[in-house]
Amino acid sequence: MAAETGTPTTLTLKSNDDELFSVAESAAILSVTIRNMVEDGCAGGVIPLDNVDGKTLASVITYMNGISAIPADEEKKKSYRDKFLSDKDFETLADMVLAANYLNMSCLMDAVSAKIAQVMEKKSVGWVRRKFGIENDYTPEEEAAVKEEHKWTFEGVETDDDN
Amino acid sequence: MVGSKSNCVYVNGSNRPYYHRRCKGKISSTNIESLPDELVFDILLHLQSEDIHRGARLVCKKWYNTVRTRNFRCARLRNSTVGLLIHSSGDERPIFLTLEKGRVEMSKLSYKIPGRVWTSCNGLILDYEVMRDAYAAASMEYKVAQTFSSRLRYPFVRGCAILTVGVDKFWRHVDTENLSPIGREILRGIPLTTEGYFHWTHREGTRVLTLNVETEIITETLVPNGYGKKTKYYLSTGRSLTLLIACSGFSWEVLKMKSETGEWTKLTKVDLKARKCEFEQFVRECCGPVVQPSSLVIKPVGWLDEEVLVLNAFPTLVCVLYKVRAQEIEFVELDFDDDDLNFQVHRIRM
Repeated sequence: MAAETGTPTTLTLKSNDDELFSVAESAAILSVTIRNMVEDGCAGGVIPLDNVDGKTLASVITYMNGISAIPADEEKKKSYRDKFLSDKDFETLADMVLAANYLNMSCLMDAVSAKIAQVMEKKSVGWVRRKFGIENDYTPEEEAAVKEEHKWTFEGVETDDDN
Repeated sequence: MVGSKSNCVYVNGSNRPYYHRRCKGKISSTNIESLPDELVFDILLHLQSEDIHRGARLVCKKWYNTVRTRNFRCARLRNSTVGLLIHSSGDERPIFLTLEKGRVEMSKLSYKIPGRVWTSCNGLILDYEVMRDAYAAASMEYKVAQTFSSRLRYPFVRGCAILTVGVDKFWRHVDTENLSPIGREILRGIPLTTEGYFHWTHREGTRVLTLNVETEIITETLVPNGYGKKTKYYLSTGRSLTLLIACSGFSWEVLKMKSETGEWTKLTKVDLKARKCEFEQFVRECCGPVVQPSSLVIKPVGWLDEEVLVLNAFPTLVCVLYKVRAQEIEFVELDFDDDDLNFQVHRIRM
Protein backbone atom coordinates (compact mmCIF):
# COMPACT_ATOMS: atom_id res chain seq x y z
CA MET A 1 0.00 0.00 0.00
CA ALA A 2 0.99 3.59 -0.52
CA ALA A 3 1.46 4.24 3.19
CA GLU A 4 3.99 1.40 3.55
CA THR A 5 6.21 2.57 0.76
CA GLY A 6 6.04 6.26 1.64
CA THR A 7 3.16 8.36 0.40
CA PRO A 8 3.65 9.40 -3.21
CA THR A 9 3.47 13.14 -3.45
CA THR A 10 2.73 13.33 -7.14
CA LEU A 11 0.04 11.53 -9.10
CA THR A 12 -0.20 11.11 -12.85
CA LEU A 13 -3.62 11.57 -14.38
CA LYS A 14 -4.48 10.53 -17.91
CA SER A 15 -7.28 12.16 -19.87
CA ASN A 16 -9.49 10.26 -22.34
CA ASP A 17 -7.46 11.75 -25.20
CA ASP A 18 -4.27 10.32 -23.68
CA GLU A 19 -2.75 13.49 -22.28
CA LEU A 20 -0.76 12.96 -19.08
CA PHE A 21 -0.79 15.40 -16.17
CA SER A 22 1.27 15.47 -13.00
CA VAL A 23 -0.48 16.81 -9.95
CA ALA A 24 0.35 16.92 -6.25
CA GLU A 25 -1.59 14.26 -4.41
CA SER A 26 -2.67 16.78 -1.78
CA ALA A 27 -4.41 18.79 -4.52
CA ALA A 28 -5.74 15.82 -6.49
CA ILE A 29 -7.55 14.31 -3.51
CA LEU A 30 -10.01 17.19 -3.65
CA SER A 31 -11.63 14.75 -6.02
CA VAL A 32 -13.33 12.11 -3.91
CA THR A 33 -13.03 9.71 -6.84
CA ILE A 34 -9.24 10.11 -6.87
CA ARG A 35 -9.03 10.13 -3.07
CA ASN A 36 -10.79 6.79 -2.88
CA MET A 37 -8.33 5.37 -5.37
CA VAL A 38 -5.38 6.70 -3.38
CA GLU A 39 -6.80 5.27 -0.16
CA ASP A 40 -7.32 1.92 -1.83
CA GLY A 41 -3.75 1.96 -3.00
CA CYS A 42 -4.39 1.94 -6.72
CA ALA A 43 -2.96 5.33 -7.55
CA GLY A 44 0.66 4.35 -7.90
CA GLY A 45 0.77 4.30 -11.67
CA VAL A 46 -1.13 6.35 -14.16
CA ILE A 47 -4.72 7.12 -13.22
CA PRO A 48 -6.92 6.95 -16.30
CA LEU A 49 -9.87 9.32 -16.24
CA ASP A 50 -11.98 8.01 -19.09
CA ASN A 51 -14.66 10.68 -18.95
CA VAL A 52 -12.54 13.82 -18.97
CA ASP A 53 -10.77 15.28 -21.99
CA GLY A 54 -7.34 16.92 -21.79
CA LYS A 55 -8.55 20.48 -22.11
CA THR A 56 -11.05 20.11 -19.29
CA LEU A 57 -8.66 18.11 -17.11
CA ALA A 58 -6.01 20.82 -17.47
CA SER A 59 -8.56 23.34 -16.27
CA VAL A 60 -9.67 21.17 -13.36
CA ILE A 61 -6.04 20.66 -12.30
CA THR A 62 -5.46 24.43 -12.38
CA TYR A 63 -8.45 24.72 -10.07
CA MET A 64 -7.21 21.91 -7.78
CA ASN A 65 -3.82 23.57 -7.42
CA GLY A 66 -5.28 27.03 -6.94
CA ILE A 67 -7.89 26.13 -4.35
CA SER A 68 -5.68 23.79 -2.32
CA ALA A 69 -3.07 26.54 -1.99
CA ILE A 70 -5.58 28.66 -0.11
CA PRO A 71 -5.73 28.00 3.62
CA ALA A 72 -9.07 27.32 5.31
CA ASP A 73 -10.68 30.65 4.52
CA GLU A 74 -14.06 30.17 2.89
CA GLU A 75 -14.27 33.74 1.63
CA LYS A 76 -10.90 33.59 -0.14
CA LYS A 77 -11.81 30.22 -1.62
CA LYS A 78 -15.07 31.63 -2.87
CA SER A 79 -13.39 34.61 -4.50
CA TYR A 80 -10.85 32.26 -6.12
CA ARG A 81 -13.70 30.15 -7.52
CA ASP A 82 -15.48 33.24 -8.84
CA LYS A 83 -12.32 34.46 -10.53
CA PHE A 84 -11.49 31.02 -11.90
CA LEU A 85 -14.90 30.69 -13.55
CA SER A 86 -15.29 34.30 -14.65
CA ASP A 87 -13.71 33.90 -18.11
CA LYS A 88 -15.12 30.45 -18.96
CA ASP A 89 -17.59 30.16 -21.81
CA PHE A 90 -20.70 28.05 -21.58
CA GLU A 91 -19.31 24.96 -23.30
CA THR A 92 -16.32 24.91 -20.99
CA LEU A 93 -18.65 25.25 -18.01
CA ALA A 94 -20.78 22.36 -19.22
CA ASP A 95 -17.66 20.18 -19.66
CA MET A 96 -16.47 21.27 -16.26
CA VAL A 97 -19.69 20.35 -14.47
CA LEU A 98 -19.55 16.88 -16.06
CA ALA A 99 -15.93 16.47 -15.03
CA ALA A 100 -16.60 17.72 -11.51
CA ASN A 101 -19.48 15.28 -11.22
CA TYR A 102 -17.36 12.38 -12.48
CA LEU A 103 -14.46 13.32 -10.21
CA ASN A 104 -16.90 13.86 -7.34
CA MET A 105 -15.76 17.40 -6.46
CA SER A 106 -18.80 18.92 -4.84
CA CYS A 107 -17.35 22.39 -4.29
CA LEU A 108 -16.46 22.78 -7.98
CA MET A 109 -19.78 21.31 -9.08
CA ASP A 110 -21.70 23.69 -6.92
CA ALA A 111 -19.73 26.68 -8.16
CA VAL A 112 -20.09 25.72 -11.83
CA SER A 113 -23.83 25.00 -11.48
CA ALA A 114 -24.28 28.38 -9.83
CA LYS A 115 -22.28 30.02 -12.61
CA ILE A 116 -24.40 28.41 -15.34
CA ALA A 117 -27.55 29.48 -13.46
CA GLN A 118 -26.12 32.98 -13.26
CA VAL A 119 -25.81 33.08 -17.06
CA MET A 120 -29.58 32.54 -17.25
CA GLU A 121 -30.39 35.31 -14.79
CA LYS A 122 -33.09 37.69 -16.02
CA LYS A 123 -32.89 36.29 -19.56
CA SER A 124 -35.87 35.65 -21.80
CA VAL A 125 -37.07 32.13 -22.54
CA GLY A 126 -36.01 32.52 -26.18
CA TRP A 127 -32.54 33.64 -25.21
CA VAL A 128 -32.05 30.62 -22.93
CA ARG A 129 -33.24 28.24 -25.66
CA ARG A 130 -30.92 29.78 -28.26
CA LYS A 131 -27.91 30.01 -25.97
CA PHE A 132 -28.21 26.47 -24.68
CA GLY A 133 -29.40 24.91 -27.92
CA ILE A 134 -32.64 23.64 -26.43
CA GLU A 135 -35.51 22.80 -28.71
CA ASN A 136 -38.90 24.17 -27.75
CA ASP A 137 -41.05 21.05 -27.39
CA TYR A 138 -44.17 22.92 -26.28
CA THR A 139 -47.06 23.49 -28.63
CA PRO A 140 -48.20 27.14 -28.55
CA GLU A 141 -51.29 26.05 -26.59
CA GLU A 142 -49.20 24.17 -24.01
CA GLU A 143 -46.84 27.10 -23.60
CA ALA A 144 -49.75 29.46 -23.04
CA ALA A 145 -51.21 27.05 -20.46
CA VAL A 146 -47.91 26.90 -18.53
CA LYS A 147 -47.74 30.69 -18.55
CA GLU A 148 -51.22 30.78 -17.01
CA GLU A 149 -50.13 28.56 -14.11
CA HIS A 150 -49.25 30.45 -10.95
CA LYS A 151 -49.83 33.66 -12.84
CA TRP A 152 -50.27 35.43 -9.52
CA THR A 153 -46.58 34.95 -8.70
CA PHE A 154 -44.36 38.03 -8.94
CA GLU A 155 -47.20 40.21 -10.11
CA GLY A 156 -46.62 43.80 -9.13
CA VAL A 157 -43.04 43.27 -7.97
CA GLU A 158 -40.80 46.01 -9.24
CA THR A 159 -37.34 45.08 -10.43
CA ASP A 160 -34.55 47.58 -10.39
CA ASP A 161 -33.20 48.53 -13.79
CA ASP A 162 -29.62 48.27 -12.60
CA ASN A 163 -29.95 44.59 -11.67
CA MET B 1 3.65 -0.76 -4.99
CA VAL B 2 2.47 -0.94 -8.51
CA GLY B 3 -0.78 0.73 -9.31
CA SER B 4 -2.24 -2.02 -11.36
CA LYS B 5 -5.20 -1.00 -13.43
CA SER B 6 -7.28 -3.93 -12.34
CA ASN B 7 -7.46 -2.51 -8.82
CA CYS B 8 -8.79 0.84 -9.92
CA VAL B 9 -12.41 0.07 -9.38
CA TYR B 10 -13.38 3.70 -9.05
CA VAL B 11 -12.49 4.66 -12.57
CA ASN B 12 -14.68 2.17 -14.31
CA GLY B 13 -16.52 0.71 -11.36
CA SER B 14 -20.10 0.96 -10.29
CA ASN B 15 -19.91 3.87 -7.85
CA ARG B 16 -18.74 6.46 -10.30
CA PRO B 17 -21.21 9.32 -10.29
CA TYR B 18 -21.96 9.42 -13.99
CA TYR B 19 -20.57 7.96 -17.18
CA HIS B 20 -20.50 10.37 -20.05
CA ARG B 21 -19.76 8.70 -23.35
CA ARG B 22 -17.64 10.73 -25.67
CA CYS B 23 -15.42 9.87 -28.61
CA LYS B 24 -11.72 10.02 -27.87
CA GLY B 25 -10.10 13.16 -29.04
CA LYS B 26 -13.30 14.66 -30.35
CA ILE B 27 -13.61 18.35 -29.74
CA SER B 28 -16.11 19.06 -27.03
CA SER B 29 -19.62 19.85 -28.09
CA THR B 30 -21.28 19.61 -24.73
CA ASN B 31 -24.44 21.55 -24.38
CA ILE B 32 -26.97 21.69 -21.63
CA GLU B 33 -29.21 19.10 -23.29
CA SER B 34 -26.48 16.50 -23.18
CA LEU B 35 -26.12 16.92 -19.43
CA PRO B 36 -27.70 14.19 -17.33
CA ASP B 37 -30.93 15.00 -15.51
CA GLU B 38 -29.37 15.26 -12.08
CA LEU B 39 -26.92 17.92 -13.26
CA VAL B 40 -29.71 19.92 -14.89
CA PHE B 41 -31.52 19.60 -11.55
CA ASP B 42 -28.49 21.05 -9.74
CA ILE B 43 -28.19 23.94 -12.18
CA LEU B 44 -31.88 24.83 -11.99
CA LEU B 45 -31.63 24.66 -8.21
CA HIS B 46 -29.27 27.62 -8.30
CA LEU B 47 -31.68 29.87 -10.21
CA GLN B 48 -33.53 32.73 -8.59
CA SER B 49 -37.23 31.95 -8.06
CA GLU B 50 -38.15 34.68 -10.51
CA ASP B 51 -36.00 33.16 -13.24
CA ILE B 52 -37.58 29.75 -12.70
CA HIS B 53 -41.02 31.27 -12.93
CA ARG B 54 -40.47 33.60 -15.85
CA GLY B 55 -37.84 31.59 -17.70
CA ALA B 56 -36.82 28.04 -16.90
CA ARG B 57 -40.20 26.35 -16.64
CA LEU B 58 -41.17 27.73 -20.06
CA VAL B 59 -37.97 26.63 -21.81
CA CYS B 60 -38.90 23.00 -22.39
CA LYS B 61 -40.97 20.19 -20.92
CA LYS B 62 -38.00 18.51 -19.26
CA TRP B 63 -37.20 21.65 -17.29
CA TYR B 64 -40.84 22.20 -16.46
CA ASN B 65 -41.14 18.67 -15.09
CA THR B 66 -37.90 19.04 -13.13
CA VAL B 67 -38.92 22.18 -11.25
CA ARG B 68 -42.35 20.75 -10.47
CA THR B 69 -41.09 17.72 -8.57
CA ARG B 70 -41.41 17.47 -4.83
CA ASN B 71 -37.67 16.74 -4.63
CA PHE B 72 -36.88 19.99 -6.35
CA ARG B 73 -39.12 22.05 -4.08
CA CYS B 74 -37.76 20.39 -0.97
CA ALA B 75 -34.19 21.00 -2.13
CA ARG B 76 -35.04 24.67 -2.76
CA LEU B 77 -36.45 25.05 0.73
CA ARG B 78 -33.42 23.31 2.23
CA ASN B 79 -31.07 25.63 0.39
CA SER B 80 -32.95 28.78 1.24
CA THR B 81 -32.20 31.12 4.09
CA VAL B 82 -34.58 32.15 6.81
CA GLY B 83 -34.06 35.68 7.97
CA LEU B 84 -35.74 38.87 8.94
CA LEU B 85 -37.26 41.09 6.29
CA ILE B 86 -37.25 44.70 7.40
CA HIS B 87 -39.43 47.07 5.49
CA SER B 88 -39.93 50.79 6.06
CA SER B 89 -43.11 52.58 5.14
CA GLY B 90 -41.12 54.81 2.76
CA ASP B 91 -40.55 53.92 -0.90
CA GLU B 92 -37.37 51.99 -0.11
CA ARG B 93 -35.98 48.57 -0.85
CA PRO B 94 -36.36 46.17 2.09
CA ILE B 95 -33.38 45.00 4.12
CA PHE B 96 -32.85 41.31 4.69
CA LEU B 97 -31.00 40.21 7.84
CA THR B 98 -29.63 36.67 8.02
CA LEU B 99 -27.24 34.59 10.01
CA GLU B 100 -24.53 33.11 7.79
CA LYS B 101 -22.07 30.76 9.49
CA GLY B 102 -22.57 32.51 12.80
CA ARG B 103 -22.24 36.02 11.36
CA VAL B 104 -25.06 38.45 10.86
CA GLU B 105 -25.33 39.57 7.24
CA MET B 106 -27.36 42.53 6.10
CA SER B 107 -28.40 43.02 2.47
CA LYS B 108 -30.82 45.18 0.53
CA LEU B 109 -33.24 43.27 -1.66
CA SER B 110 -33.21 44.09 -5.34
CA TYR B 111 -36.92 44.84 -5.48
CA LYS B 112 -39.31 47.12 -3.75
CA ILE B 113 -42.54 45.91 -2.28
CA PRO B 114 -45.53 48.06 -3.06
CA GLY B 115 -47.62 48.92 -0.05
CA ARG B 116 -46.93 47.43 3.32
CA VAL B 117 -45.81 43.88 3.95
CA TRP B 118 -48.57 42.14 5.77
CA THR B 119 -47.10 38.72 6.35
CA SER B 120 -44.52 36.53 4.73
CA CYS B 121 -43.65 32.86 4.73
CA ASN B 122 -41.46 30.55 2.66
CA GLY B 123 -40.71 33.18 0.08
CA LEU B 124 -44.21 34.49 -0.45
CA ILE B 125 -44.91 38.03 0.64
CA LEU B 126 -48.44 39.29 1.05
CA ASP B 127 -48.90 42.96 0.74
CA TYR B 128 -51.92 44.26 2.45
CA GLU B 129 -53.46 46.35 -0.23
CA VAL B 130 -54.09 43.14 -2.12
CA MET B 131 -55.18 40.80 0.63
CA ARG B 132 -56.71 41.67 3.96
CA ASP B 133 -55.04 39.06 6.05
CA ALA B 134 -52.34 36.43 5.99
CA TYR B 135 -51.23 33.09 4.74
CA ALA B 136 -48.92 30.17 5.35
CA ALA B 137 -47.17 27.60 3.25
CA ALA B 138 -48.09 23.98 3.53
CA SER B 139 -45.59 21.48 2.23
CA MET B 140 -46.39 22.12 -1.41
CA GLU B 141 -48.91 24.92 -1.53
CA TYR B 142 -49.43 28.39 -0.30
CA LYS B 143 -52.63 29.00 1.55
CA VAL B 144 -54.08 32.33 2.44
CA ALA B 145 -56.25 32.74 5.49
CA GLN B 146 -58.66 35.56 5.84
CA THR B 147 -60.63 36.50 8.92
CA PHE B 148 -63.88 38.38 8.81
CA SER B 149 -66.81 39.53 10.84
CA SER B 150 -69.97 37.59 10.26
CA ARG B 151 -72.87 39.95 9.72
CA LEU B 152 -75.43 37.20 9.68
CA ARG B 153 -76.08 37.12 13.37
CA TYR B 154 -75.68 39.25 16.42
CA PRO B 155 -73.40 39.55 18.32
CA PHE B 156 -70.98 39.58 15.41
CA VAL B 157 -68.76 36.54 15.36
CA ARG B 158 -65.28 36.62 13.93
CA GLY B 159 -64.74 33.81 11.48
CA CYS B 160 -61.89 32.50 9.42
CA ALA B 161 -61.62 31.19 5.89
CA ILE B 162 -58.77 29.71 3.94
CA LEU B 163 -57.87 29.17 0.29
CA THR B 164 -55.01 27.65 -1.64
CA VAL B 165 -53.31 30.29 -3.76
CA GLY B 166 -53.64 29.78 -7.48
CA VAL B 167 -55.89 26.71 -7.06
CA ASP B 168 -59.07 27.61 -5.18
CA LYS B 169 -61.63 30.02 -6.51
CA PHE B 170 -63.65 30.02 -3.28
CA TRP B 171 -62.83 30.43 0.38
CA ARG B 172 -63.22 27.41 2.63
CA HIS B 173 -64.77 28.05 6.01
CA VAL B 174 -62.64 27.22 9.07
CA ASP B 175 -64.66 26.16 12.08
CA THR B 176 -64.30 28.67 14.93
CA GLU B 177 -67.20 27.41 17.05
CA ASN B 178 -64.82 25.80 19.54
CA LEU B 179 -63.12 29.14 20.31
CA SER B 180 -64.05 31.31 23.26
CA PRO B 181 -65.67 34.67 22.47
CA ILE B 182 -62.52 36.48 23.66
CA GLY B 183 -60.41 34.11 21.61
CA ARG B 184 -62.35 34.88 18.47
CA GLU B 185 -61.65 38.57 18.92
CA ILE B 186 -57.93 37.97 18.46
CA LEU B 187 -58.65 36.90 14.88
CA ARG B 188 -58.88 40.61 14.18
CA GLY B 189 -55.10 40.95 14.35
CA ILE B 190 -52.28 40.07 11.99
CA PRO B 191 -51.20 36.45 12.41
CA LEU B 192 -47.64 35.22 12.74
CA THR B 193 -46.55 32.27 10.63
CA THR B 194 -44.37 29.33 11.59
CA GLU B 195 -43.74 26.18 9.60
CA GLY B 196 -47.22 25.00 8.65
CA TYR B 197 -49.07 27.12 11.22
CA PHE B 198 -50.70 30.50 11.68
CA HIS B 199 -50.80 32.05 15.12
CA TRP B 200 -53.04 34.90 16.14
CA THR B 201 -51.93 36.64 19.30
CA HIS B 202 -52.70 39.80 21.13
CA ARG B 203 -50.01 41.88 22.79
CA GLU B 204 -51.89 42.33 26.04
CA GLY B 205 -53.50 38.91 25.90
CA THR B 206 -52.62 35.44 27.11
CA ARG B 207 -54.53 33.57 24.41
CA VAL B 208 -53.02 32.16 21.26
CA LEU B 209 -55.03 30.82 18.35
CA THR B 210 -53.18 28.33 16.20
CA LEU B 211 -54.36 27.27 12.77
CA ASN B 212 -52.80 24.12 11.37
CA VAL B 213 -52.49 24.81 7.66
CA GLU B 214 -52.53 21.14 6.62
CA THR B 215 -55.59 20.10 8.64
CA GLU B 216 -57.23 23.57 8.62
CA ILE B 217 -58.16 23.16 12.27
CA ILE B 218 -57.89 26.09 14.64
CA THR B 219 -57.15 25.66 18.36
CA GLU B 220 -56.96 28.02 21.31
CA THR B 221 -54.27 27.87 23.99
CA LEU B 222 -53.28 29.97 26.99
CA VAL B 223 -49.78 31.10 27.91
CA PRO B 224 -48.56 29.82 31.31
CA ASN B 225 -49.97 31.50 34.42
CA GLY B 226 -48.31 34.52 35.97
CA TYR B 227 -47.60 36.52 32.83
CA GLY B 228 -51.01 38.13 32.42
CA LYS B 229 -50.08 41.67 33.39
CA LYS B 230 -46.61 41.90 31.86
CA THR B 231 -45.68 43.39 28.49
CA LYS B 232 -45.55 40.61 25.96
CA TYR B 233 -44.00 40.26 22.54
CA TYR B 234 -45.03 37.33 20.38
CA LEU B 235 -42.45 36.53 17.69
CA SER B 236 -42.07 33.82 15.09
CA THR B 237 -38.64 32.28 14.65
CA GLY B 238 -39.79 30.86 11.33
CA ARG B 239 -39.94 27.40 12.90
CA SER B 240 -41.90 28.12 16.06
CA LEU B 241 -43.73 30.73 18.05
CA THR B 242 -41.92 32.43 20.91
CA LEU B 243 -43.14 34.76 23.61
CA LEU B 244 -40.91 37.36 25.19
CA ILE B 245 -42.04 38.76 28.48
CA ALA B 246 -40.53 42.05 29.56
CA CYS B 247 -39.06 41.83 33.06
CA SER B 248 -37.54 45.30 32.82
CA GLY B 249 -36.64 47.67 30.00
CA PHE B 250 -33.54 45.58 29.34
CA SER B 251 -34.46 42.00 30.15
CA TRP B 252 -36.93 39.47 28.84
CA GLU B 253 -37.94 35.95 29.62
CA VAL B 254 -38.22 33.76 26.51
CA LEU B 255 -40.83 31.03 26.11
CA LYS B 256 -41.43 28.81 23.13
CA MET B 257 -44.61 27.07 22.03
CA LYS B 258 -44.84 23.68 20.39
CA SER B 259 -47.25 24.28 17.50
CA GLU B 260 -48.60 20.72 17.48
CA THR B 261 -49.65 20.66 21.12
CA GLY B 262 -49.72 24.28 22.31
CA GLU B 263 -47.25 23.40 25.09
CA TRP B 264 -45.02 26.22 26.33
CA THR B 265 -41.46 25.75 27.55
CA LYS B 266 -39.09 28.27 29.09
CA LEU B 267 -36.12 28.77 26.82
CA THR B 268 -33.89 31.34 28.44
CA LYS B 269 -33.69 34.78 29.93
CA VAL B 270 -32.17 37.61 27.93
CA ASP B 271 -30.62 40.20 30.19
CA LEU B 272 -28.95 43.19 28.60
CA LYS B 273 -28.77 45.44 31.66
CA ALA B 274 -24.99 45.16 31.83
CA ARG B 275 -24.74 46.36 28.21
CA LYS B 276 -26.86 49.47 28.68
CA CYS B 277 -23.86 51.84 28.52
CA GLU B 278 -22.63 50.40 25.20
CA PHE B 279 -26.14 50.73 23.82
CA GLU B 280 -26.51 54.36 24.90
CA GLN B 281 -23.10 55.18 23.46
CA PHE B 282 -24.11 53.68 20.08
CA VAL B 283 -27.43 55.54 20.02
CA ARG B 284 -25.62 58.81 20.71
CA GLU B 285 -23.20 58.14 17.84
CA CYS B 286 -26.01 57.33 15.39
CA CYS B 287 -28.71 59.74 16.36
CA GLY B 288 -26.79 62.64 17.84
CA PRO B 289 -27.87 64.59 20.89
CA VAL B 290 -31.51 64.95 19.76
CA VAL B 291 -32.44 61.45 20.88
CA GLN B 292 -32.30 60.65 24.57
CA PRO B 293 -31.35 56.96 24.86
CA SER B 294 -33.39 56.70 28.04
CA SER B 295 -36.55 57.69 26.14
CA LEU B 296 -36.27 54.76 23.72
CA VAL B 297 -38.22 51.55 24.05
CA ILE B 298 -36.27 48.41 23.29
CA LYS B 299 -38.65 46.09 21.48
CA PRO B 300 -37.89 42.50 20.51
CA VAL B 301 -38.75 42.34 16.80
CA GLY B 302 -37.49 39.04 15.45
CA TRP B 303 -35.15 36.08 15.40
CA LEU B 304 -32.39 34.92 13.09
CA ASP B 305 -32.22 31.12 13.05
CA GLU B 306 -33.54 30.88 16.63
CA GLU B 307 -30.08 32.01 17.63
CA VAL B 308 -29.94 35.78 17.35
CA LEU B 309 -32.62 37.94 18.91
CA VAL B 310 -33.14 41.21 17.05
CA LEU B 311 -34.34 44.17 19.10
CA ASN B 312 -35.26 47.60 17.82
CA ALA B 313 -34.66 50.78 19.79
CA PHE B 314 -38.03 52.31 18.99
CA PRO B 315 -38.47 54.85 17.37
CA THR B 316 -34.97 54.88 15.84
CA LEU B 317 -33.21 52.82 13.17
CA VAL B 318 -30.90 51.32 15.76
CA CYS B 319 -31.13 47.56 16.26
CA VAL B 320 -29.51 45.36 18.85
CA LEU B 321 -28.48 41.87 17.73
CA TYR B 322 -28.09 39.50 20.64
CA LYS B 323 -26.61 36.05 20.19
CA VAL B 324 -28.45 34.10 22.83
CA ARG B 325 -26.07 31.19 23.28
CA ALA B 326 -22.79 33.10 23.01
CA GLN B 327 -24.30 36.09 24.89
CA GLU B 328 -22.63 38.38 22.36
CA ILE B 329 -24.10 41.71 21.42
CA GLU B 330 -23.85 43.79 18.27
CA PHE B 331 -25.43 47.12 17.33
CA VAL B 332 -26.45 48.12 13.82
CA GLU B 333 -28.11 51.14 12.29
CA LEU B 334 -30.47 50.26 9.46
CA ASP B 335 -30.03 52.13 6.21
CA PHE B 336 -33.51 53.59 5.78
CA ASP B 337 -34.82 57.14 5.49
CA ASP B 338 -38.10 56.32 7.15
CA ASP B 339 -38.15 55.00 10.70
CA ASP B 340 -41.61 53.43 10.60
CA LEU B 341 -40.42 49.85 10.40
CA ASN B 342 -42.04 46.49 9.89
CA PHE B 343 -40.25 43.23 10.73
CA GLN B 344 -41.20 39.91 9.16
CA VAL B 345 -39.68 36.47 9.25
CA HIS B 346 -39.00 35.63 5.64
CA ARG B 347 -37.39 32.87 3.62
CA ILE B 348 -35.31 33.78 0.65
CA ARG B 349 -33.12 32.17 -1.93
CA MET B 350 -29.74 33.87 -1.77
